[in-house]
Amino acid sequence: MSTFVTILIDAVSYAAWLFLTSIGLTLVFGVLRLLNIAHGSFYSVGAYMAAYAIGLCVAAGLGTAWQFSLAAIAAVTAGAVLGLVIERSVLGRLYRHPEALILIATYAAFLVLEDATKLIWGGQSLYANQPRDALGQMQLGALQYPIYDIALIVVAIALAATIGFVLNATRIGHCVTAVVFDREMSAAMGINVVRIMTGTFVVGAALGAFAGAITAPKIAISPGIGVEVIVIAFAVVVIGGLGSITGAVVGAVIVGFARALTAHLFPEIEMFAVYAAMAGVLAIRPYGLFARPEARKI
Amino acid sequence: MTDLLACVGVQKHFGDFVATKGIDLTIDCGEIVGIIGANGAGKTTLLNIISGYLRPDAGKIIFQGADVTGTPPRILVRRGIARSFQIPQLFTRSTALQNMMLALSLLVEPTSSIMQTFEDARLAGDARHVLASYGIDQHADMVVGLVPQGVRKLLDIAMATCAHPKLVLLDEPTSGVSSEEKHGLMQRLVERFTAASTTAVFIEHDMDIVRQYSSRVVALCDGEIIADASADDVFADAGVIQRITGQPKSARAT
Amino acid sequence: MSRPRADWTIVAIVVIALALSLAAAFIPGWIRYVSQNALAAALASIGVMILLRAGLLSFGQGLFYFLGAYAVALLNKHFAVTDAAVTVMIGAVCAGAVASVLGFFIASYRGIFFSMLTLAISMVVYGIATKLSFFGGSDGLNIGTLSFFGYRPRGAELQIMSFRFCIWTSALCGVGAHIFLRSRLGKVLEAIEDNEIRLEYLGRSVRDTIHIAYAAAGVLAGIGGALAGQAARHVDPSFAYWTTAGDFIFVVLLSGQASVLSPFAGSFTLEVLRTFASALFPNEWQLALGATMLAIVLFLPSGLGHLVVLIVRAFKRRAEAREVIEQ
Repeated sequence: MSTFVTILIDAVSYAAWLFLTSIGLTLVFGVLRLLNIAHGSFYSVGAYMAAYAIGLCVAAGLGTAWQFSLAAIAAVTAGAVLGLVIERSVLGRLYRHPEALILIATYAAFLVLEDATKLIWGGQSLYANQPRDALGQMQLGALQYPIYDIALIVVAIALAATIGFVLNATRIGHCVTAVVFDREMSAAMGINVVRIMTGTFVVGAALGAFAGAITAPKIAISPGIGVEVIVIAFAVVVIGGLGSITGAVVGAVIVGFARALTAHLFPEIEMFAVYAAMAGVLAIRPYGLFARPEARKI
Repeated sequence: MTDLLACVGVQKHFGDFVATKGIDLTIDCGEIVGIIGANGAGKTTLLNIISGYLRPDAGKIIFQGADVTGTPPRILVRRGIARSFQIPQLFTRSTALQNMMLALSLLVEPTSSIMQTFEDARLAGDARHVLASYGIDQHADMVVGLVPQGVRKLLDIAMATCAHPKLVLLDEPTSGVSSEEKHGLMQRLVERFTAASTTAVFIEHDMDIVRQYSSRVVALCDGEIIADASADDVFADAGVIQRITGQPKSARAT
Repeated sequence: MSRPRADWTIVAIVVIALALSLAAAFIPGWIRYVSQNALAAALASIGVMILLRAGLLSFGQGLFYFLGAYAVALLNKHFAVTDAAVTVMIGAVCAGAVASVLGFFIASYRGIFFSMLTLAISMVVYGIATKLSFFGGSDGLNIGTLSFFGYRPRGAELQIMSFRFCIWTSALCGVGAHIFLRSRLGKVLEAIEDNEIRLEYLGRSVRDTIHIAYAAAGVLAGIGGALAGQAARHVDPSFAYWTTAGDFIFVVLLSGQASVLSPFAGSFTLEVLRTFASALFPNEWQLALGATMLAIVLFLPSGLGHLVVLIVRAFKRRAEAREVIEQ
């Protein structure tokens, strides 16, 4: 019984993290129709900025609340600024070019950012687990579980709800949905499509950085954390259907459970669980579970 | 009188929308059949089903006695069913000549020649010849994306028919073609089809064209056939014309 | 004008290969080594280029690079096979076989799906390779000295023979790839990105064509990997890491896709740059690489090779204008 509870909590906790990491990616794909490989870099930058902010707070003797706030603000700001710079200077010029070229551009941006972070913060691991340790643990059944990890689940749910609300119930959300469905028509209706696309990319970058910031207290922050994230975020997003927010939630849950189950029951094949889940879904729904149907061509 | 094509009870729906309701249609060799109907009547869907692009939910397509329901287009093309498109489907980044060369190398030349060099003088010459026979060879070296719509339509039809198919399905061959050119185009096409004994089925909205060039007219409305007779008989039927055009016959401008 | 023209690309490949072979003894050892790495990567890059013709960007060619390289290493380790040609051929067959099997699944996908699925598959293999001692874990495996059809040279002669073998294998692959790309099948590949429906209605299976191209690219990357392993006498799992595939993509981007010769030139340039840059600026050169890629993407997306095309075109136009004046 307690194994079941452990697996359940692990699954939900991991699913929450997956959602936070991949929501930015799927949002950007939905609106801009590009898969941003540099999303991993935004995550990485967010983690580093959070570590830096937490380090500053700790040195100045500031408490956990300060650490959280400054870490989040630093990360989100850095992500947003980077996102804006990249979108305006690189991606914004490439929208009419072939998909492959855009993908290469995001890969090049990723390489640049990876090495920039290495240059700025060095190659060694950084640690910023003060906020997580400070929150302590709670009793769940027979287990002690870090409160931080539970809080992460709450944050993920809150974020999902907020994004859902913004997209469905606000004017800007309706504009974004319009652009997702038909860019030309949206422009014809007077929507500033360029601004929506830039804005979405900035939000996606900020979300990626936020995910990095939230994860920072849990991991050793080093160059290369961005790379792992890209592959797994892609798997989540593909399972759910590129561009679908609901899909990102469902994909996160599926992958979360797949990984938690294998980690506890068959640890040797843990790595495969994710890809097996992805392959399984793609076998029955080649473009993901909630992919949009294509309009007829002939 | 041999049946070339038979559609038996063909039904197709897209979600809740019923595109075709149970179509029974037989086409004989050598016929030139016009299909008319309002938008959404199911004309293009029928062509998509016959040419293998869509699988019907019920019913069969029999071509030369064999059941070809759901057989993919690339196999049907080799069996002799060719199809041109409402929006011309071309390789827009290549020149008209290259488009034609590709069509010839895939449809006319043997499969074993696929590894031969593409830039071949003989192939280019044959392609130019075909383009000339449709009167579009002056655009041969122009990139298709820049070529006028009427020429694109002709190229589309030329590519579809270059392998002398037994049955040609034409989806609105004169749409997008200017009024002076419409008759010239249809004249040319019908002459070729009659000379080669090709059976043709074409969808058209221009009633004058349909009346002049088809021996038989099939009228579709809301997914079912409401008339199937000679052109004169169909156009004389006021009820049919009203359902197709939405206007009583006397009110139609001539 | 219907004189049969010599295919200048094939002539160029053969002439360059001959020249390099004959000059082999006079080329400094380190340049030979750099060239062998460049040739190996160029073959994999040609595979990327082939798929890119159809609009498909593969981030997973590293997998086949890995397979070819490890075939050589494992044959060497477990079966004491040292023959250069045999090991390369078996490497090619292994890579081709895996590519053919994967192709059944992957040929259904396009665009970003294709790219990321190839990436994911390659990373899975990377993950396996770092964990299993059969593959030497993350340290990889070493390869013993090569032999050539029974002949076992030593010292400088071994290096030169290895170099010549690499040159001629690459030349052969280059010629094969060129014949593929200039053929009607090559044109079909190009047409796939343009209009798949039209191709299906011309009787050609798009899926089968992509499958063939994917297998061909896999074989090329496998041969490249085998050559790379032979040059370095060492293989490790990083061959399957997606950034190795990224290098191949960079080569194609840098050199453009005008001809089979482009990736050879691009790969050689990259290897030379990499050797100098990592020696002079060990911490910043990757940054410079990424920045260069961005610059090329923004300002010269057809690659540097396109510059050559533009220059040649400019000369041709001047020559034509002169003809008109002189008539």
